[in-house]
Amino acid sequence: MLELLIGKWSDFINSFSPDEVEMEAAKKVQVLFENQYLIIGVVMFLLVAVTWLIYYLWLNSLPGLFYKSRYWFTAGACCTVLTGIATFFIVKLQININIPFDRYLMGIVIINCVYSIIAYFFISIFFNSFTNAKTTPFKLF
Amino acid sequence: MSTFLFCIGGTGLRVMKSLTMLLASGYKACNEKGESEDIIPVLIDPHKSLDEFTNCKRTLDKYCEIRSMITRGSILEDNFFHTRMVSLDNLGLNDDGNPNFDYDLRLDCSFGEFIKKSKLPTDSVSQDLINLLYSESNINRSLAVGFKGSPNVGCVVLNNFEDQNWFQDFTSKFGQGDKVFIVASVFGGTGASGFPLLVKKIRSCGNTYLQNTSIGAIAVMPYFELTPPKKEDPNNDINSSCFITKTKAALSYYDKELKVDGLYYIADDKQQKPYTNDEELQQNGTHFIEFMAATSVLHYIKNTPAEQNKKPADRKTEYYSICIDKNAEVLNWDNIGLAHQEIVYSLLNYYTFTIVNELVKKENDFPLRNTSGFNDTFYNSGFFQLLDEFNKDFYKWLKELNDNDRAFAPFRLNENKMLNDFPLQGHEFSNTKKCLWAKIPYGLSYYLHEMILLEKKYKKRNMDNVYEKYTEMMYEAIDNMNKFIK
Repeated sequence: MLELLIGKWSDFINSFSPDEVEMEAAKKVQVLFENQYLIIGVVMFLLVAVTWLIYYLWLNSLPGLFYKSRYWFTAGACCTVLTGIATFFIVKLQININIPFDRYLMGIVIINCVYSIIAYFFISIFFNSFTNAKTTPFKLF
Repeated sequence: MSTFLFCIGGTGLRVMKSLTMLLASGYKACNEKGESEDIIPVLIDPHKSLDEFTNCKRTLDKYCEIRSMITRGSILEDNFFHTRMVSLDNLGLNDDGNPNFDYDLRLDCSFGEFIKKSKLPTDSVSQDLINLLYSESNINRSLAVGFKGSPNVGCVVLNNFEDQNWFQDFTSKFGQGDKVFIVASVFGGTGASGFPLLVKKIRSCGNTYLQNTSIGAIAVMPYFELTPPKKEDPNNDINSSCFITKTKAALSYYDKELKVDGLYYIADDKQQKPYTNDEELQQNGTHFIEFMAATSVLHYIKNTPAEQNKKPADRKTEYYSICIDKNAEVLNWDNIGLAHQEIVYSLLNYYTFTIVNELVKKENDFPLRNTSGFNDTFYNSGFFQLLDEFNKDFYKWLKELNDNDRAFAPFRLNENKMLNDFPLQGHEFSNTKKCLWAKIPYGLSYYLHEMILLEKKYKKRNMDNVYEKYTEMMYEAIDNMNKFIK
């Protein structure tokens, strides 16, 4: 996905001078990036689950017309933004190498945000019926 | 079990209207055993062109239509429009729709023509007697506009009750366990004359159950004043300075001649601004006394058994007077008295319903639109057209009570149909919730949220009738929320 969005890792690695140090650093970036996928995926799912819990189980148990679509979208938007921020900091902290990889960093942030939107949408569809929440968006049953 | 409710004259009609509004709020007419009692209103007023008559009839028609759509013949749980009101014609039928409360008592002739005065020899003793008892204006006045405060005319015209189809229908349909209540004013013409006549006709009719049944009545005594009649005004027959004299005369007659089981009295002397003296129009708004008089019907149904051990002549009359806690010019929840708070609470719930019902239609995201069928098709049905009309009448009725003198103003009336403040004047909603640190303000959301919570319970009941489901769910949700009065 990241390669589709930003470009192939090989192009990234080859973009550096054949100087052994820089190329090795670039290869390390790729490895470290790939090592983060699981962590940022788990963090994304956790954030989606927490948002779902907050929206469907807590907000919907209160008066205040929280069933309105705009609250569902707001909750989803908050989840996406938090996922993006979390992804950014996780990757930034874990990959402490002094070569420019900002395009890949932004790419992974955007991809994780998109995944969080998709996950939030599906989790809303499949799980809201098992709660007392009676919110309008994507209520299937 | 049914109570036949006779509303005689203008005041009777006004009391009937107030009773209809009260029953629409879900207040129940229960008998001494706690069972729901049907009410069969019988409107007696020859003044058919009077707005009051058409208003009352229209309100009753709407009530019956709405209720028949809610019940479809089944028995209602706690709900608005809980009590069955049925016209004499529809009594015994399954369908309460298309009721007929108009028994065509209209007489398009003068009193002189009615008694065939012109056929009497001019120098006869009968002519002299008639001239002694009735003024020229009594004799020449058209009966189509009522008796204009002349009970001496009314008692003659109304004396042929038993020949009327409605009275025969009433005596044939009256059964064991049924009872009678009469609403009439004693300071006018129609009510003051019709009330004792009706009691006599009932006690002497051929139906044994009816002869021996409990009869209750409310004698509405003067509660308003009229501007003094102008000399050049042709409608100058009614003079409110005679109200007390007429009342005294009527009451002393009733005391000697009338035997009923429960007699309620109500009056008021608090009015500062007299009504305009125009009998034909009588455009004075609903008065608190009419509303209080309506509560006597329910009190009687609850407290007096239909069947008595003794014969009517041997029974003692129980006398009641309707009182309020404080003699205030503006009556509200706090000064009306504990005994009436239950009734005010019922009205509070219905007033809240009228607002919530308007606002919920615009709530496009309200989940019950999808899950319970409360969608646009539902809100555009004929039921809601009727309900909206009724609710407009209800608001107008509350507004009139609010603006009259003495005022009955327990609610924050809001023409814009908003729910920003708790509708009970001087009180707040005590069950507000918090979302993190912020308070969720009182409003529509509390009622809709309660409906969402109640939906599961209603789904289990598999109710086919979506109107019944909607009104009952609203009733319960509003009741659950409004009880948090601070």
